[in-house]
Amino acid sequence: MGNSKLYKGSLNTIILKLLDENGKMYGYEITQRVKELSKGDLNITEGALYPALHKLEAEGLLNVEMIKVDNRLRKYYKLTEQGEKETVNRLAELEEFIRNMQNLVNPKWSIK
Amino acid sequence: MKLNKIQIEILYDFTRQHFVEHYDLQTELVDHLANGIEAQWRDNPQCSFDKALQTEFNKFGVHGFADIIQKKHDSLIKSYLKIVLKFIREWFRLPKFFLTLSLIGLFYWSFTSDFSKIFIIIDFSLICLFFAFGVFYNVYILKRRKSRGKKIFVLHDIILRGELFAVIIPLFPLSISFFEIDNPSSLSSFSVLLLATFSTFIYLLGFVSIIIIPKKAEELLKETYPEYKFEKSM
Repeated sequence: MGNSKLYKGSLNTIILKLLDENGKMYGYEITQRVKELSKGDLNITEGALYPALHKLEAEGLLNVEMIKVDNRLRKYYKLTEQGEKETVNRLAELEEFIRNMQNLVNPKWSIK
Repeated sequence: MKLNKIQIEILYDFTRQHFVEHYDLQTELVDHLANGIEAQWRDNPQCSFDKALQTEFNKFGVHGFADIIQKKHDSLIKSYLKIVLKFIREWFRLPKFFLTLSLIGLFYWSFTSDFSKIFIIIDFSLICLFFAFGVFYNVYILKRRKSRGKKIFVLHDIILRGELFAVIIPLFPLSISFFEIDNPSSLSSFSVLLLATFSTFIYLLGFVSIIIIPKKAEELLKETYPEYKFEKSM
């Protein structure tokens, strides 16, 4: 994550969400998709992406598939059944976090 | 414009020169670098292969591939421990559980016999020697594979190096000092039983991680790595 520490804790959730939407993706594709979706605002660095993918794979949340493409092997990641459940949980957690942050940063004052 | 086979080989060499010695990680990084280079060529077809490669590599930061290598190893250590526990669990289920009980009984008998001190020294020395020989043999196999240019996967490396060995060996002197084995007659039956169970567990841990799992490495690699089947064809 090049630009903000705020995104750091959400990297795994971003990866899970992208895989949930796209079925299967490879590392480079994930970095480009995030850049595209955030209009270049968010840049996932290679040094952060692969350790996150490998950790999710070791935790059993991702499955891998190898396909030969253009003279080389490409490693695709996809969600396991456990990964699908975890995505729902983590997205709910993230949404709650965003809601709480909005309330903290921009509280709606009212006189009772 | 796409990279040709020779350029892909150059990328594999490049990862090796930057201390990525395992084929699974090399393959993933090669594809990443290749995608980046091809993307640069789409924007600027005049860009040389070497310059495009350097630009892509710089994106990995000042540490290059080092962090990725270390964290991949850490992730797979967790997977390896899960494998070890899966094999250990078999020894606590029938029919192997009878063997485990017999081993506990054997340790208990040797610790309570008149020659307990000698038995303890012989037991622990033999186990240590046996496991040390196992680790040396596995590391020898690993080095031979490397010297013959065979592809090594991170998990294969962890399995053959028997990384648990470093944890198992200090457990012996620790158990000796903890249970005051130098004076076994002072121990209660319960303490001896505990010591016998502990010794059995250490023995099983060593046996499974140094003997059983390396023997089944091929099978485990096929389960873990879909690219393993491509190994011979690439």
